[in-house]
Amino acid sequence: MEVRRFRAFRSGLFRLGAIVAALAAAPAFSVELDPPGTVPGYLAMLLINEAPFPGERGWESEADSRAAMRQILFVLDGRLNQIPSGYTQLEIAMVTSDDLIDIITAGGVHGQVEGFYRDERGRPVTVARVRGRLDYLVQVAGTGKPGAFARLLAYAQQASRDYVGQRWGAVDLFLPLEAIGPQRVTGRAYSWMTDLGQFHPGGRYVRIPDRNDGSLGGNRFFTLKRLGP
Amino acid sequence: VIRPLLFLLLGALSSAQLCAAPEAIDPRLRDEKFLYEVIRYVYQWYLDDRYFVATGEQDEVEIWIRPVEVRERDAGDESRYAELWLPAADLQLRLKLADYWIPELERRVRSPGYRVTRAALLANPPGPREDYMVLMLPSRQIRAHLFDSRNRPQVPDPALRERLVAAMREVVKLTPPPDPTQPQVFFVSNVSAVSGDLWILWVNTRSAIRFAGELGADQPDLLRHLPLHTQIFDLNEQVVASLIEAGGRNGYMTKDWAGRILFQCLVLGERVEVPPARLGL
Repeated sequence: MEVRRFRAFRSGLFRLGAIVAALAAAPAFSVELDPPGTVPGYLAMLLINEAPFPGERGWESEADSRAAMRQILFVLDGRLNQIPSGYTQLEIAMVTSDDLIDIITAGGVHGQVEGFYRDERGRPVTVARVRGRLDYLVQVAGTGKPGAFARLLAYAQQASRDYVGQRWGAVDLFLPLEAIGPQRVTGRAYSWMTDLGQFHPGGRYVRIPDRNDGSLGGNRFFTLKRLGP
Repeated sequence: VIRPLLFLLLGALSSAQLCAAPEAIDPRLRDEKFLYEVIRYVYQWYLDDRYFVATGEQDEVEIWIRPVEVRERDAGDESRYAELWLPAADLQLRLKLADYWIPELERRVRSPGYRVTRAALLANPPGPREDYMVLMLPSRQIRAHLFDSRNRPQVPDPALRERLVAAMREVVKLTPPPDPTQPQVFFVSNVSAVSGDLWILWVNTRSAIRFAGELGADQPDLLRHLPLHTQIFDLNEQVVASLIEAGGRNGYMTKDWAGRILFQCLVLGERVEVPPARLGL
């Protein structure tokens, strides 16, 4: 059932991508999402899923949602390529791998990224809710004059293609962090969670406060305690 | 004539004294009825024994308020933002009065009042005291209000209830239960004037559904925009004592939070049963 839905979703996405492109009257916009079976397509789906669109809980502005997407991509990059001294990739990412899809799907359906997992045949898939929301967003983006919906979808897709193609030149807001209050930290963010205020500071993760832009797109970002000297 | 007026004036001063006014604060944020709603919401979702221990001997409770701005506001967005800090609870609240237009949906998003959009327990105040307007509310009066209203139901009105049943049917279609031939049992949470969230406990699947979003789960077009509203939490899988246990995974909630959802839904909320024939499966 899951496989069939995935295929149907993928072919639907091709169609919807084409529709969005056709409806985008302004020549500057042509949103076409890569197939979710590809690395840039799957990554774009994740960025779209984790950032709010107009009308959603956590929505503040286009710039805020773009920043959220960027920083989530930096979290994934950190888990993949930037393991801080004293930590292992397994501790931070629940997996030892140089494959971005492994980083995203680590831990299964309720793993590192809620709702993103590999199916029984090892293919990267998502829960139905993620696909339903994406279908809705693509449909809205293709309604009338292209606006924030189309621009955010296009941004997520382009960022994903650029990252996978090693052309991504964005700036990591959290890279320079050295201390949060008295706590020395590693810099970069290594986790994000829905900003719901249940997180009591503790463990190895350190909440990045508002003054350091730690809340973006309705998500709270966390860096790590610096270990050793 | 003078004595009642004097009494009212003194009462107003004692119940909400302004200690500092660094800049103009939206009067709606200073409205006492609104503040009591915020405190009640906080009581339902965040406060615990620590707050009452901390304020037990205090005559007054401080509420710090300041306006805040978002990064690179979109053109035409008239929304207003504010931050509340409750020192006695170490709780920071972010509030939003949404007011913007979504061209693609041809829809204005306008919340009826300020709503809590996020909250955080912090070890220290998010800013220096002088950056805020500080209101003082009588501690004893707050405690009495919270105690008296702790089990007062605020159930959805019949129209909202109908829309929620329709929304739940859509959720069931998207994530079918193990046995769709059984009636599906839901409990709908209390509603709050200062929150856009509506929680629903889906007993058959032991999951919690949150309808949230600025379009308003309480608005007539809920179904049209359902994908923007819906989150589902599997209470079997996604609950931990501490999020530290989750080790960076981003879909978990604490037992404390799950317990509050259960209380809001099971104890204070309403039971709704949808027979198989009405599920639309």
